Amino acid sequence: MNVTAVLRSEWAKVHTVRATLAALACVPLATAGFTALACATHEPGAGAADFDPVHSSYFGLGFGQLAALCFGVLVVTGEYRGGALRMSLAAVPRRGLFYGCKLAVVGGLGLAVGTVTGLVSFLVGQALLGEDGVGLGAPGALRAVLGCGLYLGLIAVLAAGVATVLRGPVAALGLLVPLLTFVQPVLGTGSPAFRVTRFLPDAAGQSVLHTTPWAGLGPWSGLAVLAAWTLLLAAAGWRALERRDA
Amino acid sequence: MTSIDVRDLRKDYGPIRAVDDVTFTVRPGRVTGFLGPNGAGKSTTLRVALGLDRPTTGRVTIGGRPYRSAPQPLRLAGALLDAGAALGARTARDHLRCLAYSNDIPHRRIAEVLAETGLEAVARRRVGTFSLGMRQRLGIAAALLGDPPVLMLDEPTNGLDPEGIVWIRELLRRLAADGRTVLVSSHLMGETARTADHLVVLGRGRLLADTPMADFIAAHSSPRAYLRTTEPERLRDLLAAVGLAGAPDGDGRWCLPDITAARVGELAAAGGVPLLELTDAQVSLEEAYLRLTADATQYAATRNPATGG
Repeated sequence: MNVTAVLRSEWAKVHTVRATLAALACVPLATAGFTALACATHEPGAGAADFDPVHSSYFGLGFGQLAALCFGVLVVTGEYRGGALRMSLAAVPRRGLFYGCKLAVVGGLGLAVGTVTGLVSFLVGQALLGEDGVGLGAPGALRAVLGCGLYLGLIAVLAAGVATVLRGPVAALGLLVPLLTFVQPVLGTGSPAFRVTRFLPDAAGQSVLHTTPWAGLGPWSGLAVLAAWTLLLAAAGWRALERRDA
Repeated sequence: MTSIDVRDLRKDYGPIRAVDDVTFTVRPGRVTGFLGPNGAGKSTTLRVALGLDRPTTGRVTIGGRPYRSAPQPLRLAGALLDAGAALGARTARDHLRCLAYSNDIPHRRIAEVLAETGLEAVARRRVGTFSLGMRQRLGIAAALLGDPPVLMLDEPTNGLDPEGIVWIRELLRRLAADGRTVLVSSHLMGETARTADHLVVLGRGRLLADTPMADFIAAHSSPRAYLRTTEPERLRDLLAAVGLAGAPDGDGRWCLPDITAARVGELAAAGGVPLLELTDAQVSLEEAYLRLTADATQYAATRNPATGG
């Protein structure tokens, strides 16, 4: 079987279902929207010494990330509703090819939409920061824009991997949302717990958005930690799909 | 020749043995009815054939190769499994489109199978709004999409209206006449009797029969003869002499069990009893099937009381 054909089929599965398209569209809308809310209330010049203008542009990422998680989960759990997976696997019985192409489409779309999100959110945020705003040429700015794309792409694939193990959207989102959006932000960066929680997928991956020194991991090492999580959970999904009777 | 070859197939789900060392071949050019009570292992066999479930031992090949290894599997075999197996949020056309892309099936086939299955008018409607009958037609459309030489349909008549049932019957006959291999599971004995040429019967995971339809009926039924006579008294004596008992019903028609019309004719001629009418009863597939499966159930129950129903 050829990879291009299966990729086309997986792409068609995404764009023929409104819910997955809507989830994808919500990624930049939520990120830039909540960033705009935060940056619009910023008082120029009143910031602390460690004020990070680039990072301020990604205040809304936690909300956009929810949409990315939903996207990754929905693409997979759609297969587990109404027995659709049986027909899909009858069409593409080589499960490695099927799963690989599905994750490639999820990751590719996550990366593309994530990069757009990174750029839009950056521009919106900086415009609203007034005199504290910086341009794309500022140190770490471009890294943050591209890093946002990589971050969201990896998060979507991670969600797809977890959804393949758990099969249902409620179980998958029930696990992913608290773990990736509550634990680290609630415990904060100041507490001793951060020595551990900075290795969680969200905290580690979002290190790439920081341009001033902070308590977390370095930009690329943080992203590498997220990539390792993604690899691990995608592999768990593969193991489940490969072993189970459909 | 694209036959379906099931060889020494066994499939266990935990402690339950769904299919127990089954071997049979489904040949092209005819409709093979796939019968058996619920839980007999029909659907499991089909799932293994499609590479969806992994066999415990044994194998199923289609045209000499495992389904999984086909370069474009939808062009090798089409299958109908549980009423369409489609995501409700997608339109019928998009569902077929996703399948067609993966196997490099030309776009025109989508319109062709939609027309074939009578779904043109609803092609742009979401599958979630479909009735069971429409979902069933969509599943058949998906099975036909790759124009495959082999078709495996699990209860295609489920949810279809009488018109749909006639349509399925003609479709199956036509596919077999094209020289395709057609395997159809069903619980409707009347429909199977009208469409199938050959039968494969499973019971509790075991192969109970793999024979032509006519042989199956003959083997699993006892003969019966109907007759009318003008001399019932003499006929009764004649029958009693060979150990048979019979009596006319209200219309004066006799029904004699365990004897063929030919034998009755010989007896009557020898005894000089005039007969007005003499025919063999048409034994139905349903009757033969129920007799076979009842025997098999009893056999299994006495042989293996621990495993239960």
